[in-house]
Amino acid sequence: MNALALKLLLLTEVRLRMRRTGTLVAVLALIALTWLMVGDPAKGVAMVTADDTRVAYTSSCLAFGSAALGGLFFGLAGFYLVRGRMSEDVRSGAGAVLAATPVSNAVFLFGRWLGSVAYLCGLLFIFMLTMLVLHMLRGEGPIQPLVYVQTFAVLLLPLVFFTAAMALLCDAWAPLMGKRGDVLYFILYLAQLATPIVLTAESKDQWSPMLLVDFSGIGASVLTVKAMLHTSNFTIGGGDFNPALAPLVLPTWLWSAQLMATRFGCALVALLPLLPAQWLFHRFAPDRVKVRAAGSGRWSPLVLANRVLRPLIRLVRPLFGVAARVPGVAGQALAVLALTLVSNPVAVAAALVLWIVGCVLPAAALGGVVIAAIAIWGVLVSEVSVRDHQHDVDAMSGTAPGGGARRFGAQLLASCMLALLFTAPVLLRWTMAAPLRAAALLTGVLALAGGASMLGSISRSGRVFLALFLFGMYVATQAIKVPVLDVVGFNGVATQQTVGGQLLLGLALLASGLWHERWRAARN
Amino acid sequence: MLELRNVVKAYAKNVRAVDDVSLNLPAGVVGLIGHNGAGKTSLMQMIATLTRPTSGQILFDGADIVKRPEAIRGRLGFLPQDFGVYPNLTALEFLQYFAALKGVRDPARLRLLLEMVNLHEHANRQAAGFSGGMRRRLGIAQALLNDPDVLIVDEPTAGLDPEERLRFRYLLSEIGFRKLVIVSTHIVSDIENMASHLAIMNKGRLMAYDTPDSFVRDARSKVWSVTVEAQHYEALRAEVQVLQAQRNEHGISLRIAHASSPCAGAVPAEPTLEEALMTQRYAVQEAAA
Repeated sequence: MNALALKLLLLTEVRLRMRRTGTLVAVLALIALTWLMVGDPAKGVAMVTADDTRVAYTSSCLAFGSAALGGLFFGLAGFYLVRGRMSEDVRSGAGAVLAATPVSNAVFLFGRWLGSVAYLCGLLFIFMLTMLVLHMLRGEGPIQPLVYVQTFAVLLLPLVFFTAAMALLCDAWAPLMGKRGDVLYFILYLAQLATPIVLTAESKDQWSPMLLVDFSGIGASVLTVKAMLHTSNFTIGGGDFNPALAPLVLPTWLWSAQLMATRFGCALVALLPLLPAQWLFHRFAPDRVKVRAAGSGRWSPLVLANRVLRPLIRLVRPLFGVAARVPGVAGQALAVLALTLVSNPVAVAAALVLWIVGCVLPAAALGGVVIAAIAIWGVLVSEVSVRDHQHDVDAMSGTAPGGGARRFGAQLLASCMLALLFTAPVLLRWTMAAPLRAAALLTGVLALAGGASMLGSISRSGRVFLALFLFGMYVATQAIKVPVLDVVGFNGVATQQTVGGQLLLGLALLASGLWHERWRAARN
Repeated sequence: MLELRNVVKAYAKNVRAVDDVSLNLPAGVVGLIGHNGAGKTSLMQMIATLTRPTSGQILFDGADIVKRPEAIRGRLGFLPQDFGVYPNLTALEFLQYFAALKGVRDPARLRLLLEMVNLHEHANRQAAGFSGGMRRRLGIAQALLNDPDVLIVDEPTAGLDPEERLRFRYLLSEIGFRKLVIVSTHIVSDIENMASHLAIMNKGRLMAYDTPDSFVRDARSKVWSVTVEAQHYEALRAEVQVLQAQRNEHGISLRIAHASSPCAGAVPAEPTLEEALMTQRYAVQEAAA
């Protein structure tokens, strides 16, 4: 009975997730990421370099580099892709049916976890296949599939276990359903990302017990490269090299016994969230988890802050009246903006604070203001294009003048308006002092708003955009000298080319979204 | 007012949710009746411009709304069967948002509608905390915001208590004096006292379109009443379509749909609208068989 139940749970979970549009988006993102991470040595960039020497693109190097970099993506996107199943069950009413079945909590939860693991392993397999294709194009030496498999398993399996276990915990415990779980995981993700690096640096390449929480494998990767290449001066992910120097070659087996044992221990530690998940599982009890909680969370600091700050919406409520008087897409965009602000009084407070700091802080600090503004904005706009669908209002709003296509345009425009509301003083100051940064801010917002609207429209979930956005923000704040990552100008290194590219991307996303809405209306 | 010409909606190969439906709908209340999967919702979604027909035309006051959906959207009210509300928004703010989308500028109308649906005392309560019936009433107010010329409501009385149900039927009747109201429902009693016309759908096709009186008139002499002993009931049920069975002290009292007298002792009965529609459906099924 248990084996059969487990098998069915696993298969159902994998099928459900594989059929989601979010999976398609993730696969496309993975393929794009793969192609970006393997630099072309002919252009002077290599995936792994040490002391100005590139490491040859053997199976070992490509597998190692891609696993180390892929872990960053999988750790974040993987969580947002696999979580939320219990909320779906609650919303659809299937939760009550599941709760009334004889399946035990342990079997049910383990089946869900296994399903998440199988799904993420499926994505890893696609990632690996993409790498094999790249190996055929840019690789040096024979393709050794087993080297890829063992490298991916050693570096990424603990991460997959951890991601799936945390997603399960955040689904199983009612207080973590919704955004609170998202935020908690993001914090944990950043913490586990940073801790091993700090510790390996401090302990001078010695083993540290903190490597047991190095789920993403960054610490293990750093230790391995140091051990194999005998240097601390290396890059993984794209570095310049001296073509006159002969390339280094990584052996096919990179792992010491101690490191293997550490990764095994790390995989076991990754399972720990399953224990509280089992203890705290709501089993869809109506008194512990309600439909509203499945979507938004019953109580959270954000909910509390929204309640406390609710008087602030008096400032923005008149926007509804203004919106009714403004014709066309602009009026509807104002209505969406008003809805966003009235639903989130915290955003009104944030706008007021951002205005004050944007006016009074010195020019050098404006980049930080924009980072804060765009971070808040990104979280808010991830919901804008999916809000109608998630709250079953899309059929009503779809019959408003302009229909679905105008609704898409209005949502995108409202997202841009919200960004302008947050960043207006900075934009004004940059327009006068640093026009290129102002242009980067405007075009970056357009491109990001286009991405949020498009991804939301396709996947019907805000999480796909949110995961990519947070990942992008993290990378952009780390790689502060890369123009293409200076999307909204906060690093001050954007160029005319990147600004132009963002403008084109934003317009392309707008056009694609409008086409997609029309196509969906015709297909439905 | 609204004319459908050979409207087809095909979802996949050989799956026609709506199959060559032609209708001419004047002002009044039109009841759209059919079992699950009959194509009612697909038809309403096309009229509401949410989806497009695979082929055919839908004309509103002469304008083709498939090509120009804007011709109807400003004069349309739509209440889907399943809908929700935004969290953190009061009932009044919810209406303000939709009023802004529809370009309704008169704030007094929002209060009026809230009173009409008996939610005025809850205007500043968060709509997410409303009961199912209250949400539906809020949805009704939303659909009426722009004083629509065409009102489309899908299963409108689901979740309403008897008093609200009566109140809503009366409201729809009143709107139907001047405008077109299309009501989709499974519950015949919801529309029998207010519909000026009924459209019967089955497997995507329009089976009949007529006034309720005509359906009842056609069913006269096809509905029979008889009381049989319990041991004869099973045999009789195997031969005829039983519309209603009720045990009493003399045996089992039956109402039967049949073209001629189904058994000894059966007498013609005055059909209800529901029985008339069932009789009509059985006749179609027999003709198809």
